[in-house]
Amino acid sequence: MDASTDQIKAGRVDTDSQYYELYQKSVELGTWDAEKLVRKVGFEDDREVWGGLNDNEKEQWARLISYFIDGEQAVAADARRIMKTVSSPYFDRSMEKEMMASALGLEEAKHTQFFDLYLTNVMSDKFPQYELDSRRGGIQIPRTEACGAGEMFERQGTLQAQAAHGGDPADIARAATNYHIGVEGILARGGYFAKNRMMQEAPLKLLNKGFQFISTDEGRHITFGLELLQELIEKEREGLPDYQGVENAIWEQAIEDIGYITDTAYFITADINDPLDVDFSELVNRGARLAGDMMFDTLDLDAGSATEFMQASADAMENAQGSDYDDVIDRYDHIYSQKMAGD
Amino acid sequence: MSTQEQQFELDDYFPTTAWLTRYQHALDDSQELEDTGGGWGVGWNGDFVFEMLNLPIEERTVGDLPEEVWGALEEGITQLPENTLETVLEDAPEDVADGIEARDGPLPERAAQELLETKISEAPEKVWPGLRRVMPDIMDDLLDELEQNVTDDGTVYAWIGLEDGGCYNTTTMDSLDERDHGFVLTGDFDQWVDLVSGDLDVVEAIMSGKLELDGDMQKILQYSDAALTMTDVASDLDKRFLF
Ligand SMILES: [Fe+2]
Ligand SMILES: [Fe+2]
Repeated sequence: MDASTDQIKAGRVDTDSQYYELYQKSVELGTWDAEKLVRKVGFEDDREVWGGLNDNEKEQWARLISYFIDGEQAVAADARRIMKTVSSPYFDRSMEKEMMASALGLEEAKHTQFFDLYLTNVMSDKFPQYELDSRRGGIQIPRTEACGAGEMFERQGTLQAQAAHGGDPADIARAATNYHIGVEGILARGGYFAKNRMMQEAPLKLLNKGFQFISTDEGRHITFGLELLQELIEKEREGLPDYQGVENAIWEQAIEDIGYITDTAYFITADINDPLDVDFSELVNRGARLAGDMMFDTLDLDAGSATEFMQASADAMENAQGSDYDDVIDRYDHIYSQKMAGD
Repeated sequence: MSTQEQQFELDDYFPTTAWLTRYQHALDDSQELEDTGGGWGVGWNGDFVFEMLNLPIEERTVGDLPEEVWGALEEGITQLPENTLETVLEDAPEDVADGIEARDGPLPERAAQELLETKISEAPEKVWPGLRRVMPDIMDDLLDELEQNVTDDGTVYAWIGLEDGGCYNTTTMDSLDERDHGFVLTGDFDQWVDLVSGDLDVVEAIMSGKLELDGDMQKILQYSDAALTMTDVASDLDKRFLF
């Protein structure tokens, strides 16, 4: 008998749970080692490609990677709140969810670590300032602060805190929407689309390898979040009074977040004339499809707010067209310097 | 009043060029489009193509068209004096004649049945000039439409000329490249039916991949109200679906 396919009897852990399944996948597949990866692939090839890019091309990478490193740190930091939230009495079971949330926490830490290693060893000329811990008196990288992503990560902290500290089902739904649909499901996955396009012109091998591992991990995190939301939606649809307002909260949050995301999409492409050909239109289309798959196909939400969702994106784009991001980056550069100097 | 007694014109049927012309006028008359689409396509190409894929021209037969269309054909054939019908049938293509021959029953019924069971894709070539003369006009026109405006693989390319809040022209094309355009909205014919019936939200359709929008998204977002008006006008307009 093949031991690997044989069901092992378990006690208090529900091994049929979809959360257990995700957790188990993380244990099996999420075990890549960021240090080992950079040692094995090395920085040399990436440094050479990086060195051959012009400043505008480097700037495009820097805008993308800055929101990844700050975003990974923010989601890693908020993982502890997710651990707490999933133990909420509004969920029927918590144990397998907590197991999965702990795996998520480890993986987000690893993602932060990977980008930190990469930035330090390859892209440091575009990042004179990035070392501060944004939640220990520092701020996010000036480029992150200048675009919607920075605001979105701050909002994430607030929403996760509200959900974790005795939040009701609508609070939990809002937090999960922001984190798993907005940040992981659209902002990060839209970022993978952008990096794939940029890699055509600037093949950064090690970075690509890291992104591959990260995006596989993120796939599980997104599924986890959608499962949580589905549980809440089901209870709302059953008519349980405490859960009323869940779907509405999901839409409200998605509409808020699509503004931050659209701003970020514009910031990393059209604002700098898109030197590595990401194409703002294709990025927007990609983001729309990612959102549609989660909200309509998976969660089966009513389409009544779809127009509002698009309007929010449209408003954000018009603001973005009128923004002077360079000016904002300069301002945050100055603040960052002061923080680094220790005041 | 039953649909059979009701009279419809060619421009009642979707998708036809005649309906498209009606859509053009409705767009051009729309105050809302004028308000929301001012500046659209000025200095850049704002023309749209509606690409409707997979019209069921292989799966459906003449008898699957709206009842009033084939009902009139059947009635026309069965009311012809037998010897007139025989004369008409003398010129029928061989396979049609064989098909009629192989059936049981009185000649008018056999002839009508053979035609009703003809695939839409084959109808134009199976209908010969003699039959066209005794056919109801609406059916004759519709067969022309289908022949000229649906490609062999079942696609309709509806081109819509949009500029500065108005619609200056519409036409159908044989291929996407036939005319310049700035935007293409693509989807299966079924989705188009839902969209122009008002049963499918266009934003939802794009987000869920039921329709695909190709073109400058900065422009689409900037003029999102005008884009929504375009589909609203289409769904507000009366229509009868050919399929
Ligand atoms: Fe991550
Ligand atoms: Fe994640």
